[in-house]
Amino acid sequence: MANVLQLIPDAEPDEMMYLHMLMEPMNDMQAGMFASMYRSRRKEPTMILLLTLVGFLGIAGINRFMLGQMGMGILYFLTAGFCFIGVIVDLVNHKKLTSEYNQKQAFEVANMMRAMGQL
Amino acid sequence: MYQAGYRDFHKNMTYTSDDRETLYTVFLSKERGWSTYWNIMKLRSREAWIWIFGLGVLALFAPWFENRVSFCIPRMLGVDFCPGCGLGASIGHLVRGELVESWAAHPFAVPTVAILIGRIIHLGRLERAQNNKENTNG
Repeated sequence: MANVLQLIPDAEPDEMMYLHMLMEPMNDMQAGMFASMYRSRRKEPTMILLLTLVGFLGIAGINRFMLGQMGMGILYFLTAGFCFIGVIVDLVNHKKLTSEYNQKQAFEVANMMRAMGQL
Repeated sequence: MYQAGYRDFHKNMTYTSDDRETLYTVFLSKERGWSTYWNIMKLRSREAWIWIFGLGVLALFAPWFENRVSFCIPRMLGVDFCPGCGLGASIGHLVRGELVESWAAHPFAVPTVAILIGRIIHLGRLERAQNNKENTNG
């Protein structure tokens, strides 16, 4: 069984859970392929935190755009993140938002590998 | 295309015929009553609760807040211009059906409410898919 810690060392603790679940049935080659695809797609919570902080300069919602939430992004951009209250909400939730995105990417990568017959 | 991974979990879930029958009878029975609607209390997502709380407070108390309380941080800091100001009052008017006043206070009340409710539903579905996943994996 492939080692999640070795292949994706920058994973957060809650990220480990679903990565372990997804990578359990893979052999070493499949796990390596999965890890390289996943690591190129995943976002770092620190980067999302920085983009959220940019919101305090008046351009809110960049973090939401980066996480693929276009509706929320446009709303934040046009209302200055609900008078900056939304920016504070996102500061508090930045880890959860990032892990939501990363989890979606992990499942998409696994589905893609399944579709290509690699899994 | 969106959240395809989670949908697949639903597809791959194997119900026995007994389960299916039970689910169906629970759905059809008049006894389900409030318990169906109480399921929202199981929601654990912090973000979803923040949006629910915010929309709820604005819907109930927005007219009272006017000229009394302001949640606008730029205004607290003494800056006059803020593109989000009036959104709370606008949502308050919208809930009471006063569309003209709602548009006058801030034009984005309808998209804001729609997008936030969509986000709450999305977070709820995500959580339900995750709960199902945990259950199927034992």
